[in-house]
Amino acid sequence: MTLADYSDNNLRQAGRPRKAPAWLTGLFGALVLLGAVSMLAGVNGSTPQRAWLAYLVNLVFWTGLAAGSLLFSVILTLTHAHWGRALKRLAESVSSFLPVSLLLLAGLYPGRRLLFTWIEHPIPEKAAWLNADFLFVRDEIGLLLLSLTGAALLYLSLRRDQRWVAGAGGPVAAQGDEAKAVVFANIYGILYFLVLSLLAFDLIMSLDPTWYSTLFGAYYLVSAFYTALALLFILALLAVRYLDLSSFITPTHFQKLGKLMIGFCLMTSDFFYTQFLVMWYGNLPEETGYLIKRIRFEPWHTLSWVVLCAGFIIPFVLLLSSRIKRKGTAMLALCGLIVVGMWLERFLLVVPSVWPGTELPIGISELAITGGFLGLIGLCVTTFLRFFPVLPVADPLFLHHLELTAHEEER
Amino acid sequence: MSATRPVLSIFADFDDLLAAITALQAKKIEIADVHAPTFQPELLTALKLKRSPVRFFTLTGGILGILSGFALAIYTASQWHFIVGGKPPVPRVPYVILAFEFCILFSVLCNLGGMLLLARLPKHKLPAHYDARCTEDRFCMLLHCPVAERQEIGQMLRKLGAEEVNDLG
Amino acid sequence: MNQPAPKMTQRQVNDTIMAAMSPPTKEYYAWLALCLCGALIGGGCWAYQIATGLGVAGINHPTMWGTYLINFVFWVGIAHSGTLISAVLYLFGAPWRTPLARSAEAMTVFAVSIAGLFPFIHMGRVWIVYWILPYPNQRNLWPNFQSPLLFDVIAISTYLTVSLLFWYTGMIPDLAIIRDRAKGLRQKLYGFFALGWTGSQNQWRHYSLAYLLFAALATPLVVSVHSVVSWDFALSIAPGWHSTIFAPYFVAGAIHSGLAMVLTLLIPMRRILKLEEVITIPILENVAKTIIFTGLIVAYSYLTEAFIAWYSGNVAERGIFHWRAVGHYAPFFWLMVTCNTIVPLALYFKKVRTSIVPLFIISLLINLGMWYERFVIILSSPAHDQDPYSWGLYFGPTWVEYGILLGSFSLFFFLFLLFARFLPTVSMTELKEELTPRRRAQSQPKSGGQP
Repeated sequence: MTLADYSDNNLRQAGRPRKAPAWLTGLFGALVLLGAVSMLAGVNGSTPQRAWLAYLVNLVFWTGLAAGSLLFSVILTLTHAHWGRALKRLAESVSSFLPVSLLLLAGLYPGRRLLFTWIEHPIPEKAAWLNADFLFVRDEIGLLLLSLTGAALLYLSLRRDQRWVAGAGGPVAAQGDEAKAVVFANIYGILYFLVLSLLAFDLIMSLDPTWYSTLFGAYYLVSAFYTALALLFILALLAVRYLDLSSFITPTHFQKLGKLMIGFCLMTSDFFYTQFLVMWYGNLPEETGYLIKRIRFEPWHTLSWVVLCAGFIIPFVLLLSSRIKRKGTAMLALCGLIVVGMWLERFLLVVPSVWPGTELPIGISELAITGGFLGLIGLCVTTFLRFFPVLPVADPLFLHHLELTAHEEER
Repeated sequence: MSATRPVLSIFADFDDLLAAITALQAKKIEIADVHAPTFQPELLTALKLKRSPVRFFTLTGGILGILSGFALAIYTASQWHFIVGGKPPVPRVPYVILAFEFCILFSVLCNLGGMLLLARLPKHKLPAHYDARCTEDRFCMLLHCPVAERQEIGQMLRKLGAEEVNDLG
Repeated sequence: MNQPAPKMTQRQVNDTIMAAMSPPTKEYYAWLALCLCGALIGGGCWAYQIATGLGVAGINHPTMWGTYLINFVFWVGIAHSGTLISAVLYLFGAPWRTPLARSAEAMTVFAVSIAGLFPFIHMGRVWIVYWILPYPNQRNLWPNFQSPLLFDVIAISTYLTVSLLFWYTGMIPDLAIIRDRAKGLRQKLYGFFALGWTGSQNQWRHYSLAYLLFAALATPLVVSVHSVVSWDFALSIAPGWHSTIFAPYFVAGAIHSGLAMVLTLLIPMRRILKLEEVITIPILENVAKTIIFTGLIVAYSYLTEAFIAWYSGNVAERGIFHWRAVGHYAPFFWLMVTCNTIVPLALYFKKVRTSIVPLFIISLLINLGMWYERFVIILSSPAHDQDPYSWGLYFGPTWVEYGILLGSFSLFFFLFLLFARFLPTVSMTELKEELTPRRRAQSQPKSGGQP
């Protein structure tokens, strides 16, 4: 590629919004429908708790994923990094799910009694915090703030691209926009920490209301970011293969993204271990119950090992090699494994606190509900990319990076 | 082997050096070494040098470290089988920390050791052809030039931008 | 955060940095002597303590850990940001790291060494400290590897070894530069430590990968070492200590205080050694921005701990957090909160983070706040734990402890002054690497010197 290849026309062509093929949209739509039907059937069936648990697991998983994806874009903005700009829009597309999760959280309200034991049996010392209405209101406000800040960031990022695509000539010198984006990025970063911790404390930790862990919120938000990176990798691979962006998303991008992934894999494992160690060591009854349920009793014991291997050990060992990051199919499988592993991890955090049985409550119905959520986020991503450019075409740092890359290749 | 003489050429400009290396490789002249004041990955590529195997030393050290950490902890705990704080006599959970620290320590030591071994350091005497300007801002290229082609090579190098082309010993 | 490299030639880089190593002024000797005196005072106090016993230190039931532990955690914390700057930022390829890295690494080595002294200082019978090491003996006695104090021993020794070797390895090409410019004894000495480095491609090939691996290994080490130090507290069941967030909280706090110490050291140093062209204001600004980030994480930790203490419903947990805010040590608690979380917010204003004096004052305040954070954490929990009958206070620090505190700071600055005199405070080689443009326009004239 020479600098000429990165000409305005090429950028306009490559960065243009893309309409997803009809079959894909249809598939996502079908999944959503199937999920909704399963949810309704499950809720009105004999074990509604299973359906609500599946709903909750998916809610916390996909919401974290969406928020974490936008965090990638925020980090790029705050560090003025050049390299990841080509991936920025892909990351932002996933975050379009955030407003949807606002509605989905409200959708959890009818099932609250089956999930939160402290509604029927309130705990006096915690009643001021653990009451259903307050919980839902504060979590909705949190998600709303997160969505609004995200929307502001997306607006700033997309506005200059739209202007550039619509107008003629070179990129708009958008210094003012960049400064505003930094302000909102700061706010988003702070909200990410606070709101995701709040969601973790309220929606996952409170399921076992006598248990507590100060690191739990941070663990949730770091693991959400890790999973978001894996998803971004998948999206980048798909973009290279099907959206013909191979000249913009290069092997270097995959190398760097892979390194970020291994870093956050280590960080998530470290956060997991640090919680585990402190609770194991202190041996306090109010803390160990949570652990013992998950490591001593079946089926959770086996599931814990599956999660550990799929989410952490296998990815860590494989990501050590730099060669694997160049192999598209292998990485697709690995990142898929991470996403599945982390979904199971959320399952492991949520379900044993509530589900009394000794069988894993994962069946066709629950998988269908999961599929429904997947369909929803798929529709969000494809709709987003249908209207907005897939590359941040007017981002000055993106263009600067292209110039640098072109010069490197010319040498 | 036809008689060759060591020739040292000094370059100021990096592009000139790369051009000279390409030209010399075309003429099949042996380039013994290039001394540079900073690390230049393009030089490694130009001289067709492979990626350093030091990483295998590091990996070996790391694995040894993990095994030693666990081994030391498990061995010492197995001597008396004390039950401390209600925990099993030989617990795995805290030993992960030890294994981790030993892993890092051993990998670092093997990393450094491997680097010194592979780079043939420490060198007690600097090579005869060493020019102090190599650490300043000049590139010094040592080549073994057949006697017959000495003049020609010298002219070519000067044309390509060499500041000096000196015979050694 | 990409800063243009200083507009210098390679030769000028060498000249500027080595000029800082020229024979020192009388002022330098005065400061050096002062620091040496301080270190000797500290040494004297310690000798008195060994002779008289730990009772002179103000440690008593129930607060069995006092300023020695505070200093230990403080100095390990300072060490961490050195490795962060030099190893972590290297991995991220942040260009603003280069002028700071060498001094930051030196800071790490000296800080860890001093931190490592404090477990010794805290011991009554220092002469049997070797009992803590796992060596075979007649009675088949071994240290308990389940104890966090043992983790400390292993972790701190590993950290000292690794940071020393990382620092030294980074200096090898620079020592070669000094060797090549020096004569006589100086040349022999620097030549010895330069290991005969000539900059040949074989050497560079292995060196560059080894250095990258060093950085990659030092990064998880940094996190693990301060996590281990935090587990000295978190693995107990004392209220206020037993908390899962301690490990990342301490690591973030360590980086926070360490970056502040970097500013405290480098702001005077760049002035005295005339390195303003190399350690520029934008670089200090980047350090300031990172301080904002770590400050926010520390604030998050304070909030989460306070919230969960209430949420837990545990009487002792709620009690200790309440007591920290209103009890005997409340002034220090509020000092800690203000200096660590509110003061750094001033750095959001560009005017503040690009002016030297506010930066320096803020860095001092953060250091003060972080020292008192360790004070509040370490002293409040034993003073106010589950059993009200055993509540008590720490009425230190005593003069012995003040002496040793003074000694530790003096020793640190003494070592740093020696470093500034005898070793290059900025990595010449890395700075030169940044200068050589990666790309040159084909139209540049072939002859001619470096840009």
